[in-house]
Amino acid sequence: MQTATRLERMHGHLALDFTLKQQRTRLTVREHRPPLQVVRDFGLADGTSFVHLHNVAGGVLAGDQLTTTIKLAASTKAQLTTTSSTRIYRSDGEQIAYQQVQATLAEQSLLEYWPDTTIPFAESLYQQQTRIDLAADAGLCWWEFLAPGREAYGERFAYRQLRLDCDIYALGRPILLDRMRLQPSLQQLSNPLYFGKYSYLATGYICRVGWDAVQWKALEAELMAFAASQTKLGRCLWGVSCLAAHGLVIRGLSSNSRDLLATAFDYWRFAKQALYGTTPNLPRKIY
Amino acid sequence: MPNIGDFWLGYTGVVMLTNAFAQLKLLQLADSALPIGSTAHSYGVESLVAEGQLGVAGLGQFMRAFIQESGQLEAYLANQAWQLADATAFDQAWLDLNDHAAAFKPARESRHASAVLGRRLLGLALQLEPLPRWQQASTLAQSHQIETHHSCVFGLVAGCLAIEAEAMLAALLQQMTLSLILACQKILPLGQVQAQQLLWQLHPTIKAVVAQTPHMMLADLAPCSIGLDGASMRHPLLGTRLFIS
Repeated sequence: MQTATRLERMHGHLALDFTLKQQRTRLTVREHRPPLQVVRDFGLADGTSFVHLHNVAGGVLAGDQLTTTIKLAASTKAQLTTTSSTRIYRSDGEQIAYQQVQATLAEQSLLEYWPDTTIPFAESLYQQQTRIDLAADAGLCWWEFLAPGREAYGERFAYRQLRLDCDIYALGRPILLDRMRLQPSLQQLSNPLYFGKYSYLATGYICRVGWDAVQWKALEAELMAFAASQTKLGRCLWGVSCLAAHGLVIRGLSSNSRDLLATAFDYWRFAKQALYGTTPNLPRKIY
Repeated sequence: MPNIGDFWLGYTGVVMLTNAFAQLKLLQLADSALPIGSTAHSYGVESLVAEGQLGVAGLGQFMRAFIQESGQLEAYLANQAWQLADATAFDQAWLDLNDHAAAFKPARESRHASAVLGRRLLGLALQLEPLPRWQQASTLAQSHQIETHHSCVFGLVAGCLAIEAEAMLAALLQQMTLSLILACQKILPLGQVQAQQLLWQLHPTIKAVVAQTPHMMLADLAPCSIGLDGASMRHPLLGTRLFIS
């Protein structure tokens, strides 16, 4: 019997609402269906609700359809992280492992998303669709980290297909449609158009709706200088760029994951200081 | 029926041309010598070369992937714009299309290059032949303070000139590819004959993208050029640059 037919396919769902109560952000889990869970929320000193997202299956299996909706009410602040890497298991047939995240940020809210690395196993098929809608003065710090596979097992770009989309809208208009389809058997990923000599990818989106273009250009210059200091040819490359409006994107390519994870937080430290005049809290993990 | 060289101006500004005359206009608009500055940008290639990531040996493979990824995106945008040439609900569709064009380009420098080329092409087209739809596209962009991107303008201009979509797409991709090869000639030891051979060898890839484009939907688009995008982001930091930042 094939693995895909032996395993029950999961239609997991998580619906998280963040609301403001007595100047602190509180989480209400409106709905949760396995394998998605929330460990609990912790209140940080600045009133932010800090939440660990947990997938009890340990990863996404072929045929799984997992959806998460995140709603931040006006003036709320939430920080989300994962309890471990997102493992994408192999697919024996044509079943795709699918995850969808939809985040809606109301006026003056702030969402920080610090997931662990996504690790697509050999022969995996995975699609991840993220859509983020930002209202006036909403802020965002969203990171994604992608490994080439289980390198310790000798897997490197051995997955069949990854489709990763992140569409960000501000005030109803698209400011970034960041999408990629990676198929190592059809694309030569060592081509410098894709990964070149590198194998790990980090992407960060930093937004605050309403900040004008001049301010973004100044922040871009500051972060670009930092990116230049962190770029080491043959080991790690960084780039920073303003979006069409309301934000900027940070892209890192590296030959290892540590360089990306450790540096990503520094970008947000610079940016949060510029955008909000405060210092961010790093999720309690080993980077 | 019109004779060769005749044209008829409809209320939306659609010009019906004989095929040969339309092709002549397409040749002019897709010429790399068109004064819109298409050879002033490297879209990050200059950084890749400076970093030692791209050389002549890997150029063919790089260009093939470039056409399949970035070329497919630009072809989609141009095809959508081409369909707007005689659309009755034009205004919002034109604004949305250019919004999408900007949102699909994460690197500011490449996005800006696309917007500059689009603005210049539309301006030039209006000076060559002030068709009402082109004027409408330009006025809308100004009043809504949006950029008009090159592929969108190219598609719209071609559509209004009744140039066939397939020919328009092939010409756009040819121009895009040639511009990048010409850029490579300035920074790599790539001879003129070699450059022409490379372009010739890329025709099957261009043909495949052209064939695929009419079937593409917005949701299908997933153009991946993470390496080139990052290089475009780093381009302003290069100590010496031949191309615009």
